[in-house]
Amino acid sequence: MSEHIFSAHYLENISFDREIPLDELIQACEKKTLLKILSSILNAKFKISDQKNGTIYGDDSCLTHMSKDIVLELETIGFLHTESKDDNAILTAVQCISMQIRFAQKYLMASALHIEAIQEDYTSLCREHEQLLVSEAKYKNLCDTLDEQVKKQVQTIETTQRKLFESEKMASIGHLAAGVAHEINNPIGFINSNLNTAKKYVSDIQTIAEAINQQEDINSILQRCKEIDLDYVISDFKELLEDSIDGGRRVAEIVADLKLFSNIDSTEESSVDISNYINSTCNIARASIEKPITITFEAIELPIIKCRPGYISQVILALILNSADAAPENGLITIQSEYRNSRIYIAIEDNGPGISGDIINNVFDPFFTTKDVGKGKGMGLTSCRYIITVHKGDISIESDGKHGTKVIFWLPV
Amino acid sequence: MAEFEAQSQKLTLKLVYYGPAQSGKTTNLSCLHEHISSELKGDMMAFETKGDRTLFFDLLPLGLRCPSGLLIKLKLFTVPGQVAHDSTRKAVLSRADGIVFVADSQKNQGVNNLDSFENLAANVSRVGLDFDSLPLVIQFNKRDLPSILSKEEILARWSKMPWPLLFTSALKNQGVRETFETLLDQVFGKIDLEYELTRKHGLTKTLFIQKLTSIDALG
Repeated sequence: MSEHIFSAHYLENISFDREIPLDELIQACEKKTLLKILSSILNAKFKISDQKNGTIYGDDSCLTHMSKDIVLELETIGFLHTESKDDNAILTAVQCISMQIRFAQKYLMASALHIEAIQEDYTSLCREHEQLLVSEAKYKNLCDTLDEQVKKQVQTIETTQRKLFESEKMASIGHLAAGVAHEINNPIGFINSNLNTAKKYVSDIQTIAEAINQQEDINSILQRCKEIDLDYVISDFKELLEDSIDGGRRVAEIVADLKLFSNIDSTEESSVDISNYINSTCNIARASIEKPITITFEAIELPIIKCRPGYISQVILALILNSADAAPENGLITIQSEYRNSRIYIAIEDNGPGISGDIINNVFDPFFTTKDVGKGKGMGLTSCRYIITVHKGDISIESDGKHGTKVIFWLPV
Repeated sequence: MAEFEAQSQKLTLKLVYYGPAQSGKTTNLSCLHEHISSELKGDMMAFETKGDRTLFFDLLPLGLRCPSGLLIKLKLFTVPGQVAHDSTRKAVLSRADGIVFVADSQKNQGVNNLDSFENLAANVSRVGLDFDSLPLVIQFNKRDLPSILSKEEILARWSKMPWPLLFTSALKNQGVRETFETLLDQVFGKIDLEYELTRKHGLTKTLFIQKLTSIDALG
């Protein structure tokens, strides 16, 4: 370390343990009192100078008769000059000055150290404060984005869920469409064929009518009647029309059932007799299930409830289709309803193999399915539970794992 | 960091007595003040409060004059040991040329010793000194008390450290001078070359230690 750097360092150094020059020490003393005491001790002119012999205290006009060293710690840091000739008095005066500047040194060191410590405390507090601000900003930022991220996630989940429910709904509508197409196609087919036959019968009858109009003789007319087998034509025509009327009625019935599903997207609640909806849904189910299965439902008198019937029909259809999947050939699906404690209970039971205990608790979970890949999304019962919960009801499932499954849901009246 | 003033031919060294509260740092200084006769010895400045607790620091100035005329001034400081006075401790510690760590040998002081030592290491680096090269002596004080850790127990814990370890009883003037000498030995080794004490100022290590610690005939 070069001396140059050292002296520069020393100038800037305000640390408590620096060497304090004599003038600073004297400044820190009670100067008036010191002057009084020294004057009374020496009883003569005096002055105090530092090592460069600059007067820093006392009477500048004092002629140096005697000089004494003023020592602090180990070194002489100044001199007392006086015109006094009393050695004892001079010694006492020097002792007095030494005592005073020792106290001054102690005071200055302690206060400088105190300031250093306080500044250090303050600096470290500022530093901590800054770090706290930084970490606060970090956490605030995190908090803000976290909120945003959570919102985004929730939105994604909600969207996905809505899509899933939508696709579930579309799946049941698909079932419906298939069933309905078959059920309408069949009567339309035979009505069409009946009408074609009827058209031919009408033209046959027309030839006879023309013969009568031209006043042909009765034998020739009878011959024509025989040719076209008029008796058969008339009886068959009648039958054709009756069949067609019946077919038309069947189509009308299906359309009526279908109407119950037409308000599936309606958010409007309506007051309905749930039995009608169960009946219609059974009809649709019968139409769409290919397996030979008997679906029985004995409607009993139930109070009118407020609900969104399209959604409830969707639930019933989904439950019947589930049961149909589980039921064996020529199996049986029984639907029962009951009213008690201001609730309408609907139970749908099949005679399939049931659901084993280890998975029965999972069947309402989203994406849980026992069906082959591609056959079921595992959202059927989840959707059902969602719909029933929205209606402030509940749904449960019972099975001993051997003899069929029973799904019960209730709706408040 | 020693302060060398070329103009006034003065080299000032700062030695600091560090350690947990009431381990005997001030007693070390008082003992030196009373019992050694350095070539130059100033008055001791103490800030003791009630209950023998150091408020700011204690200061004992010692000195010697080299054959060349160079004045070497040693300022021996103590720090306040209480945990709360850390900023004061740091200020006193800054620019130190050597350290005596005064540990308390009493059995219930193990944790305090360790905490204080860790505090020393942390503060040394905070004030910009290099802990590895800083002259340091560890002193286990209060050997005169009854409920103390045995030397074996202390050595088992502390002897793996690279610093000299001494057992003392400052109140009984046992080992204090030896501790000081051990520190002076290290400090001299570190500053000799930089300030050419042996070569230029005619001050050998032996002379350095002797001039500072020769036993007071009256003590």
